[in-house]
Amino acid sequence: MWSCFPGADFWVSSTFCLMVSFVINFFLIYRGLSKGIEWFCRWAMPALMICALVILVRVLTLPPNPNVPDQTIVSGLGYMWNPTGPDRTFWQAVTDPSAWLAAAGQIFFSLSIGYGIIITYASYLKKDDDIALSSLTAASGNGFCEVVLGGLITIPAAFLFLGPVFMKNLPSTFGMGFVALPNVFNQMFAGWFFGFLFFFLLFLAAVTSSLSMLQPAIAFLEEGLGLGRKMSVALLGMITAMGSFFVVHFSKNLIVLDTLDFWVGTFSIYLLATFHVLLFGWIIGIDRGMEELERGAEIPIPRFIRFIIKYVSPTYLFLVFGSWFYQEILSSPSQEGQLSRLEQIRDIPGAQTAIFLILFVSAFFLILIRRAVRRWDKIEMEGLDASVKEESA
Amino acid sequence: MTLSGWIIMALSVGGMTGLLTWCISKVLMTPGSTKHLHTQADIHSPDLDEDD
Repeated sequence: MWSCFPGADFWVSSTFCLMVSFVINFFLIYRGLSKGIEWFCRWAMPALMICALVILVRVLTLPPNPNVPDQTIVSGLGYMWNPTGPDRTFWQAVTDPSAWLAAAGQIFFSLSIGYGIIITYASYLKKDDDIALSSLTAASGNGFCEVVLGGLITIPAAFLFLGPVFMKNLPSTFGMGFVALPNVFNQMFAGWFFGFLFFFLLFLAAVTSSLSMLQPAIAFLEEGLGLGRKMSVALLGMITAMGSFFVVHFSKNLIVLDTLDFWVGTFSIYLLATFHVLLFGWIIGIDRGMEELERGAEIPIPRFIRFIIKYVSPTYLFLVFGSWFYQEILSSPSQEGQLSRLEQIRDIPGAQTAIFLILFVSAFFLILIRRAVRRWDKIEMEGLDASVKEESA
Repeated sequence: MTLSGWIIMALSVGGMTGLLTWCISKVLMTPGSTKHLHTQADIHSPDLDEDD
């Protein structure tokens, strides 16, 4: 979160920004993915990348911090990329299941795998549309932004201006860029212009992402329950507002946001993505699945991909999950006063509230899904009856 | 920054840049790509046609 009004109370200004973002999101989802958003995706995303490349050049040419000469951009890059550190060996870093779980959760989240977005958009494609090259291009574009732009800009800049002690004691990495990047813009030619452009484009890019996250739920409410667009948007808006209220109310150390982010954005997505892999490789069947993928594909798909999807991916996902589960539950580590995820749920009211919210919303949507399945069954039966009557007539 | 850090950074940055460059070149050089290749912005979901 960031302060809209310098000097204003942080809670008031961030709540105001949240409400503005909320209204923009639901106004746009009500109007549909309009031509304006399409135009934005086509022109403003490349502009955002060019803007980020300019910032990257400036970050990599920044002089050392005058107050702390040891804090150079090279040491910032080391903080980001060195696999070893003063408190961990290479082997400890590589075998930490929490890191692998977080990495898998992050890539599933940023590629929208595991929580319905890809399935919803895939349902709008035609039978012979390319999936292989389109998805590889989208994934590599996402990887470029995260690894190259994110890995070379935000964390090295934060290290340079804020120092390793500040970064180590951060309760959460949310908002690190909003603290670090203004320092970069202060040292750039026309920094005010690039700062405004970058954050404005980033905000609009975030809006398009949240629209794509809302779209599957809207599609479900409309098609599954037969609700009109107004009612669907209103219902989803109420649920989202409830979640936002708890995030704002329990704002100390962003505990609700952090708990929701882990249990929904990492843990649940990880499990659901694992289920998707099993569904594709074992239930639909790898041959049938690859036949669908190869139809209309603009690039050849190597044979070893079948082996990876069917055997390597599930093994990797189960192994990481099992190791994380063992570390989190059976060995229950509390390092340097940091509570484990389960200890947070046991001891912190904000975390308990977040878990209650997750269970409540999950139960609510399970009831809705049950109603939708019954409705679809009824429609199917009515369709069959009508066709039988037509034939007999 | 250690040698292993430089190696990991070079592999990660080089790998992602190379893959993205290859993908974009394939998209641009594929004849009639607009008929088969789609982004999210191309998708016209059916509910947009409804009056409600």
